[in-house]
Amino acid sequence: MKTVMIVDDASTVRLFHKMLVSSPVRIIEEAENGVEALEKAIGTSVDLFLVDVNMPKMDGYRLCKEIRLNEALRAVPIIMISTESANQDAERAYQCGANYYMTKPVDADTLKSVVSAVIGGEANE
Amino acid sequence: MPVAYKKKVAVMTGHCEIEEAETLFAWLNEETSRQVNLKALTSAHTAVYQVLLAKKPKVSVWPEADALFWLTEMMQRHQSRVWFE
Amino acid sequence: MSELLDVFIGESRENLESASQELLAIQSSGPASERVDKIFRDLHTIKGSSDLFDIKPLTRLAHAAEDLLDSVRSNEVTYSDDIGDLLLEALDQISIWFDELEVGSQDLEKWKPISTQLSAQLRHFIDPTTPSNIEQSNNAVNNEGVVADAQALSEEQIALLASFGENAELQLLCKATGSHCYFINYTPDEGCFFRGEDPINVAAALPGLKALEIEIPELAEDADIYNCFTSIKALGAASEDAVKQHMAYYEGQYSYVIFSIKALQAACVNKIQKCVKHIDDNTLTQAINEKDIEQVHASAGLLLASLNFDDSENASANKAVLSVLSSIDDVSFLDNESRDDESLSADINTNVSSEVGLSKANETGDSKGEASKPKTLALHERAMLKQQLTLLNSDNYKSELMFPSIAGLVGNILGASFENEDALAVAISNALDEETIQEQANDEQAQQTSNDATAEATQPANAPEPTDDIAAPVKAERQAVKMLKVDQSKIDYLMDIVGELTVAKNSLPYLAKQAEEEGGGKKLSKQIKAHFSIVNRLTESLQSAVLQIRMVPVSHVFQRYPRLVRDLARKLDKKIELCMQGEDTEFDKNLIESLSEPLIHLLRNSIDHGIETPAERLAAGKPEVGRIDLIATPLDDSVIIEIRDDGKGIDPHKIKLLAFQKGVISETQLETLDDNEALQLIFAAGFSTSEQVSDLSGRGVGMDAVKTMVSQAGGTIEMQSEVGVGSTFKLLLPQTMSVNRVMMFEVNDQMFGVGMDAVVETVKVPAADIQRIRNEHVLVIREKLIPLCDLRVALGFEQAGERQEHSILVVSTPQGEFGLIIDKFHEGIDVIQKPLEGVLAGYAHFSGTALLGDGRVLLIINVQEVLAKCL
Repeated sequence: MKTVMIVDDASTVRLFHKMLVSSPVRIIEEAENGVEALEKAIGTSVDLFLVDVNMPKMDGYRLCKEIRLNEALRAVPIIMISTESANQDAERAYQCGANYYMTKPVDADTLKSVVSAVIGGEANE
Repeated sequence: MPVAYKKKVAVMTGHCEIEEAETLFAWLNEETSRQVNLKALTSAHTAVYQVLLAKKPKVSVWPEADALFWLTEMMQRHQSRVWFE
Repeated sequence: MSELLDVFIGESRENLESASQELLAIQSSGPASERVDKIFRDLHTIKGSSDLFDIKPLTRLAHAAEDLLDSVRSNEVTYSDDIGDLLLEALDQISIWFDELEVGSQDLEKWKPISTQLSAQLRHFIDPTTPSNIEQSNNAVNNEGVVADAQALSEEQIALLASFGENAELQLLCKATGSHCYFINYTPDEGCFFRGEDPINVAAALPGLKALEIEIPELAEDADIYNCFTSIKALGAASEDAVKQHMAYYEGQYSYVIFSIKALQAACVNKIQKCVKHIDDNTLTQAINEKDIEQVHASAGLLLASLNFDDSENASANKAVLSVLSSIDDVSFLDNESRDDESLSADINTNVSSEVGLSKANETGDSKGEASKPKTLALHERAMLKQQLTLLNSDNYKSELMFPSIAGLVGNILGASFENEDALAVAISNALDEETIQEQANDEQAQQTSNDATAEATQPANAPEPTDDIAAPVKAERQAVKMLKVDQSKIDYLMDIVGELTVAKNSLPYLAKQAEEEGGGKKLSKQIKAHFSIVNRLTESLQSAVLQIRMVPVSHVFQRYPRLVRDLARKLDKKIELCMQGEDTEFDKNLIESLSEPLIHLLRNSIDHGIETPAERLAAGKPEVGRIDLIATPLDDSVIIEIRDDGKGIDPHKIKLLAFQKGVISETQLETLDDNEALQLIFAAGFSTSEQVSDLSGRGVGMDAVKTMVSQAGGTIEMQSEVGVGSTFKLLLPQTMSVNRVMMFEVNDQMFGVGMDAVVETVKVPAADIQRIRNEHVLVIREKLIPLCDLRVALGFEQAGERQEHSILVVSTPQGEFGLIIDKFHEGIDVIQKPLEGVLAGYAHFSGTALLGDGRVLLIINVQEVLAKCL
């Protein structure tokens, strides 16, 4: 079973992404901000982070950095999903340690394909 | 002087700025037979074109300037529309 | 789906509630920045979440509010009670809309004008020049780009064109160039003159202007002539951006519509077809059918000039059509059966998913995802792989932090594990390359199937995905026929078999001869030889074909270099830029390593010794950043690789001195060698210019080692240099393991080979003919003095006893002709020469090995090296 952690402060968006990527062979975890994400992730095995940028307490950029600095979490791929579409924003995400960057609203099929590519396993039939 | 007022003809030369419009308008209003000589006109402010196109005075000499070809078309054919090449 | 909506409304109501509270608090105690920030976030969330549903007016309103709040929190706009009131109004409105959404009674059409109005008012606070009046701001809202790419003109557009006169669409088509056209309705404010505006001149200067209409009403005598009564319409061909830019200062006083030339063409098809029929000229009609553009131009032009056009409607249409035809670029659009406007406009609506109800969050109908994913990389996998490669090669790449996740991600996609960045980079490149080939194949098919696909898609939408469902299986099928993904080991195996076949066939002529001698008869022998020739030809083709499969672009090797250069440069505190060209030049996969080794050494040398420090460079008047050019060019069966640097160059005098000190040259040579010859000394055996072994260059590899590597690979290396300017190394390497013809000979009962192209002749001479001049043996052949080399000695065997006769192989080298004394000649054969590996690689006198038909290994001598040892 692979675990995907969805980090976003908007419950609607979390639900939307969860609906897109959940499957019988995946566990979906949620967090509202970076702090909660780290708390939940340390001690569990996470196979992929889907991270929003604008969140209170700890934003996406900082969360990426923290994940990369953390030996236990370092190897987990991070896909950043943001409302911003400028090049600098993607650049910044990559510099903070993201593996991939997508803009909101994500295309449903794209997110499904991307997640499947990273952790394998099929999404909803 | 951009506009030289003769007895029956206003000779327009070079570029005519917005200020010319008022005088020209009044002058054309005084006598309907008055004409304009556009031979040496190169360009004008919209206000001036406005006067010319609204009053549609008789034109003694059409402009030589290529750029004013549209003005000629409109005034000559009494139409408001012009196609460019 | 309704679960999502419920969550959305629930969450958003909370956001609204919180925002309202904060606003009220601000109204009583002032705009504290945390409060403003909170409201901003609430609206940002509402905007973001609402975007998942098809409720654009709500999203737009939230967006306007968000932008205003952003301006307030960054102090670009000062908060005022008016702003607060307006925001509260907006929040209330959104709340009302939520009520409607909850019960399903939302009416987007009614929402639109409210949203537009409120948004404009909100934005007016950000930028007072934005009109807060519906009518004018309507234009900005209505003209969002969706319409621009429609395949057909809308009713509105057709009407607009018609207002420019009969056949306006034809006239425009005739004159328009580029991809898009515009219609502008410019209605300057009455008071615009006082702002210094000059509308008619602005319009007259529009980019791509093709038609202008100026309306001025009758003016009473007492009219104030300094008011602007003019209204202008313009038609032209330019991009939306060009139009907007030109009219930038006049926003709010004009509206525009953009349409594509394609749509214009589609709109004209009917008329053109009708007129052409009416004109009824065979030449023209035929030319159009045959798409013979020149002929179309010619006939149309002729007709235009010769026909009499009366004033009838038909005539002017005909004239316009002929004008269009006489200068049009392409008549293929005339083929289309005039389509139903409705079906075409379905294309526009793919952007707006209104038919499918509220939610874009479509979980059902996922078959699209499956059907169009071939067994190879999906589009997104490819994009992700590309991104990982970019990350690996970026300046900021931190190995320890990033390698685990990148390796993991790529590993999951490609199904492999990687030990280091290099392996990872090469694997990604390989995977992407194969995909590029496939993509190109896909593109070609996509073009073929796209006509079918659009035809399918024009069924007005009940399902938004028919296009891909239908086209995808077709694509996948054709793909299977065109491309195969093959395991590399299978190719290598194939290559080995071909190699053996090549050698095996060589026995045939010999067998033919034997057959003849042992009484099989000349006839049989002839037949065998004839067949041999066929087999020979086929084998060569086969070998060539297999070798082609194994060809791989040098970029696989080259792509590691920029990082290598960056790292080394950084360690030495130098600034160096690596520029590569010709990376798609192809090379045999197995030989590519033989290419890589010398290149890395040369690069290291350039960085280490060639390029100066930034300070030195500036002092020398050079740019601070040093430059290394790496250029690969194919040349017949070889590849030329050039490494050029703009460093300090190599000093011939220094070289000469060092060479003398090391005993490589004599004192006389020190004086007599010219600069060029001096430079070539760096290739001499035992020569190295760096006093200390630089740890960067590893074992302190000197040029002689590089030269050996290149020779081993069957290539040559040249060098040119100018002090203070830079150095250039040129390597010439054979592209494939090609079949070589070698001449076999025997020395000390062992078989050796020498490349046939080096052999001039073979002679047997009596011992007496060999003369001694100074310390060397020479032979005179046809008045040429040929220095001799005893291969027995050169190869380290014992000297033979006295002989009556000597067999001499005369070979040609760049330094002239030489003779090799051997024991026995043998025949020439075709072999596939393999470079030396392992322990043998250190022996410079052999350039490779070949497998003989009977399993023996033939050592192929490197003539130049051998001679160097001899003389």
